[in-house]
Amino acid sequence: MRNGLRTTALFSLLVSTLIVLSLLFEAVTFLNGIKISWLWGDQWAPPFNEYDLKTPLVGSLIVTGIAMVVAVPIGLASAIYLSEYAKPITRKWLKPVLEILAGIPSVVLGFFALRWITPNIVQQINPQAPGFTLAAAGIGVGILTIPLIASVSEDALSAVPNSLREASSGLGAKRVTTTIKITIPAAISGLVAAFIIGISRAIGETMVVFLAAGGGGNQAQFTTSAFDSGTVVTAAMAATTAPSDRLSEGVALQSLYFLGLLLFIITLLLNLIADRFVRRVRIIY
Amino acid sequence: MEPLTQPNEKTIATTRPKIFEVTNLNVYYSDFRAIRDVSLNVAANEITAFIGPSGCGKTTMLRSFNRMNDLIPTAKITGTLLYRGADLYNKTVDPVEVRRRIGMVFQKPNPFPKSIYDNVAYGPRISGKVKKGTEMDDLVESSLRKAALWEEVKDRLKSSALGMSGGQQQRLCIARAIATNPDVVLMDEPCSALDPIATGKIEELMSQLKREYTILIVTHNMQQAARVSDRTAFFSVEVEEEHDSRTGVLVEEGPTEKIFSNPNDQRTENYITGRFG
Repeated sequence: MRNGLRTTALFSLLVSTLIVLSLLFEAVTFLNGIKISWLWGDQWAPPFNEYDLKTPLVGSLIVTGIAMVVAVPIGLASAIYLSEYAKPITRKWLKPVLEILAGIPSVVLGFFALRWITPNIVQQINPQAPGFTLAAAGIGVGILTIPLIASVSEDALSAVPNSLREASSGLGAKRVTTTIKITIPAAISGLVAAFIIGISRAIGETMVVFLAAGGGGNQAQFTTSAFDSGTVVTAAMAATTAPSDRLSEGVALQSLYFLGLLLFIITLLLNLIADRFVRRVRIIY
Repeated sequence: MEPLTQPNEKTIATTRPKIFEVTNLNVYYSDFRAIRDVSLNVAANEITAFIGPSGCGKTTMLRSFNRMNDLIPTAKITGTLLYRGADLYNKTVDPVEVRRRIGMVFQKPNPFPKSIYDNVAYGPRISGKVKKGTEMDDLVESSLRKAALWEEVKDRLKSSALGMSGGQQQRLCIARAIATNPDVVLMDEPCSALDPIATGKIEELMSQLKREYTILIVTHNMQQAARVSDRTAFFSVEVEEEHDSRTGVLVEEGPTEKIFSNPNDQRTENYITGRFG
């Protein structure tokens, strides 16, 4: 039994290592197959050997930024309500509802972003905005990230011992004072972790951006405006493999591994940082 | 000290003003009645100890005095509880204001994960009545002095309160409670998590604090009640056969020496002599 379990554990470790190694190997092959100057241009278009790195990276930055602006306030507010204010009965049904929201397939949300968020929010803010925008994708990704941020933040707030809330109330603090001055500062490590895990999730999101930002065409112009179409790291990868009129092959297909490696490094770093914060919460209590 | 025998145990033979007058108090958690028909008086500048076996409702009783039970959504209270002649549970009374006047020290030391200084300054800061700067510094110092902690911590006021020993943490919680300048301090088994030396310090502190404050203390330790309190209230558990439930009742209340040497009720005698509990 024990040996069987150990073999399974080792197997998953082996698979992960092989994936990372193949990423590394293919990324190096890609870099050897291109001129370095191809990595700096004005568009990401593998079929034309244009691999401007800043196009997907800045795209990711814009989409993740907008997603966090949407998800952090709403997620945090939900968490505070659930942990500090909701009666046990309300909490009992509200938390599962929140978790159902986390189960919405991202392709559904991508479609929603394209068909509803774009005309009703993005084009209301900026009437000149095209049908595909990074802004719509950002809002969509934000909605997708709310349950994760709410859930991790709620865990962090609930982990604050009740004795601290009682001590604060006993000194004549209103509930809102206790929340702001005691509970949130005591849970701050966990809340930061929730924020970072949220970023990590938003960066990794593919489908919403693929549909709503117009990155599916395997060719995206560099932009710094949220009201342009564009692509992000993940959507660019998906587009490279998607069958389209401009199929990628050879070195162009290998660009996928290079982006994949970048994405892997970014999310790994973020998760390591988040892990440190979560661990700090556990040490204190 | 009170005389050993009193003509009528129901009245307090003292000239000190009454701080609390409790009449027929019942506290319920949902359908469960935690205490039944408790009536007792508490006079100023005395230490009153609540003793009794587990589940007798003494902590519930204590938490009724500063409306901490309000924080439990299912808690309900009937009867009257007068604080300096005013009904504490009147609709016009703000529980937040009640808790500023009637401070509390909990069973387990619960300092905030903040500096020693910020722990003591927390109450005055949120009430907004004390200006920061020298006025706050002075208040923090005097509160720590009253809690017999100043000499130990004066050089590390900015370091975390979580780095202190359990006994120091509990004295910090006492300093924190008296920094809001309360009238009454409620203590819920304040020494149960402490070693005998730390316990001794807290007990010594209590006898000093009663000059300025009225103290109500819940304790499991009968020797402690006998050592520090002026009056003792003995609570017991009664099983209600028809409802198949347990409820806490006040058996008797009187001068500590009398309760421990010559109680009126057989149940009290059984408990303090260790034949029940």
